Amino acid sequence: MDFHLTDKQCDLRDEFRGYFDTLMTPELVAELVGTPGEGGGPLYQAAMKKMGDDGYIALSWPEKFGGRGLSALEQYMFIEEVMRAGFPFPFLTTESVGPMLRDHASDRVRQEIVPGIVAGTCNVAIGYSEPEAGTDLASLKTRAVRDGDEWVINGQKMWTSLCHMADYVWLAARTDPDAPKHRGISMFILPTNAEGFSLSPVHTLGGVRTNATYYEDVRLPADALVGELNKGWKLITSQLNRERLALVNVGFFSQKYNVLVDWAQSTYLIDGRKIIDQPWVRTHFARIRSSLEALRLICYKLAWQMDSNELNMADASAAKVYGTELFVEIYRLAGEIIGQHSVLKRDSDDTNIGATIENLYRTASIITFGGGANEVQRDIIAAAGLWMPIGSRMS
Amino acid sequence: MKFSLTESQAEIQQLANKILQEQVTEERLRNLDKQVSGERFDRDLWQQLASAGLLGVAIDESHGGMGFDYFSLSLLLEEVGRSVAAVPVVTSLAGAAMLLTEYASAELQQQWLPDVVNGQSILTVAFSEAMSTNDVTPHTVTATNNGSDYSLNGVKHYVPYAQHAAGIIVSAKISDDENVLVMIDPSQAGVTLDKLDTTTAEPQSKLTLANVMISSSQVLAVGEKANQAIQYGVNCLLTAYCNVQLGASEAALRMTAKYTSERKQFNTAIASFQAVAQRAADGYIDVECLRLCTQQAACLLSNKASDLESQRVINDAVTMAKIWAGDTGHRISYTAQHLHGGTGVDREYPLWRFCLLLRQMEFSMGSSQQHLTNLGDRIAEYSVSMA
Repeated sequence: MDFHLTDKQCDLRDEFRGYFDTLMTPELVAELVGTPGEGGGPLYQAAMKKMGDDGYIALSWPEKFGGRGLSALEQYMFIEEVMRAGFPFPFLTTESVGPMLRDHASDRVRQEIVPGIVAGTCNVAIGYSEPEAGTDLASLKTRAVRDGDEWVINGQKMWTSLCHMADYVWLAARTDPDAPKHRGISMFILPTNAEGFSLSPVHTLGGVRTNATYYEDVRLPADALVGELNKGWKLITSQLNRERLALVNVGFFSQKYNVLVDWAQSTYLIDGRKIIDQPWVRTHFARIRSSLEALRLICYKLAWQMDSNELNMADASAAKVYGTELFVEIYRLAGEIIGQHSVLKRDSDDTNIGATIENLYRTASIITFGGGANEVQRDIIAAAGLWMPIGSRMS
Repeated sequence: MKFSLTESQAEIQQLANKILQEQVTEERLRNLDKQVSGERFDRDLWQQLASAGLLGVAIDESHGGMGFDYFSLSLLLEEVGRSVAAVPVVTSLAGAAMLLTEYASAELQQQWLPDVVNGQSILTVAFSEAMSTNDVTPHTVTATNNGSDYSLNGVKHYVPYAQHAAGIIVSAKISDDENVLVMIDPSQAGVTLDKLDTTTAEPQSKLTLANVMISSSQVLAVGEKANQAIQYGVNCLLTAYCNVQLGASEAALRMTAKYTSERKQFNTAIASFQAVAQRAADGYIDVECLRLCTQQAACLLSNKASDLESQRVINDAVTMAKIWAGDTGHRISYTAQHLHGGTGVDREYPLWRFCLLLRQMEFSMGSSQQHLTNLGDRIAEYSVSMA
């Protein structure tokens, strides 16, 4: 066992960190504050294009597709730096949808879309959830019916995030209503300028905009089908572990911990003590730090398991449950340390320490149920990790 | 980053697991339960571990050992926890033998280590003092300098296996900024042992020292070297408690998963109730957190780095592991008891011994809250930054 990064991995981290130090100009940071968690402004788009030009978007992809062939662990480190920097990188597009299109789409679709993803100029939104298909995603009802050389799509999707600035939707639709629910789903790529497609915004507690999307007799060419007919569920689930790992990346809070400690060490209370001189504040910090350490190790182990093909489904779900619930808890502990300042959206002083937490706690609401509700993750842990019979809940 | 064992580590783990799982049967444990309270010690098993060479895992080959590092020893400790075996692996091997290996003179090593390896001698460590807030610094046990000799006075608490030990390593304060670490013989004049009756029935003693004379040949380290040695010994012991806790926690959790999968109520296995599955899943997460933090501490202890920055990284990793050991042990114990219902507290069923061990490890050399306080103080001092 070895708990150190190799010299090569340390160099890589330095490289990534240096890159984002340069990329995150004060102007870009200011623009991102106005569009929390999603980007989309002109400077964001310019930054994405620059990342594409510099070869930083598809780092984990094989070299022949414009990537650098990073291992899962190195890719995890990249996401860690992305999050540390606070750049809203569309990792679901680049890490999940992109590789599926690259490996399974028709030649036409691949040539049309994949280079754009690598270049940072093409955005793809994910059309999985529906009003009545959330954690039980396989019960989705959006239909795709074959009509001559075309597919006709009808239905509604929910939480189609980033769709208002996307060029395509990566869409899950039912192609065989008579088959068992996991075996009648296929994947399609649907241009957002197609006739019959529309969307309406959904504004969330976290300030992040997402969308409801509507599909009314949208006609797609036959080769918009990605992968095999009725084998869509396998594609959807093939990237789930990677998505879960990205969702709980410790980079979300590692730098914020450092900043918060620094602030508490150098900020005075009205009675002359420093913030960190209060015993309970120290205990709070110790709780945060020791919990983050466990998360850091869980994430690295998961990434290492992916690289050595030893991934246990229970461990991916354990990471998801632990990480998401920890973030919610940490945002509370951090808020308590900061005090009433932590409900200010903009600080009157220059530190913005309160505003950071004010924003984080609001956006954290979605993580415990997004990406598969934690109850279902716990069922997976009990079944795959402890061999407990979990009954008929997940059929 | 690498999370797999080397070939030799895997062999040690398998050997320890095989012996302990085969030998530590329910019948054997029941026979130990019948012994006088406070005397739970399986001497025959200790000799079997010696015969297999396992007592010398981390002791140099020149003394008859295998010559591996702390991490390899940690695999044995975990298996001891998994089997609730009654043997002094923590204090004799992870405590005393590691201290002798890293800090003692060749003469002291030669005097003690071969007999540790062959099982003839048990050694122990006396660091803890009553009402102390940490076990790193001796406060009430003093060493008065008489030329090259010392005279020791004071009281140490919770000394494991002291009644069975051939030698006890004691920390003592010479002055406010100078400490000494010595090896005493419990039969020396001025040494009194008073038996303590612990929750697991592990033998422990209160050690009273009244003008105990220490010759220079009994001194392991003095001054700055003694401070380093005490910190090292504390780290080894704390990590060892975490290793034992990890094995015990995992065993109790697995036992619970198996029991709830077989136990039927309302005509169905209770594991299929979501509330039961969810609580067990939380246990799985706790054990994983404890496992990783403990393995990291054990790994770092095996690296020989003494600069301030590396030392801090090691101390912090050990502290965080012990915080997890306390929290995980507590939660697993009550999850296991609760999900077992009455069976869990029935002494005819094996769970109860795990619950006692989990409690004892949780409180040995500092509870989670004490270690959180220590970590918080260090965060105030030097941030303990995230990389």
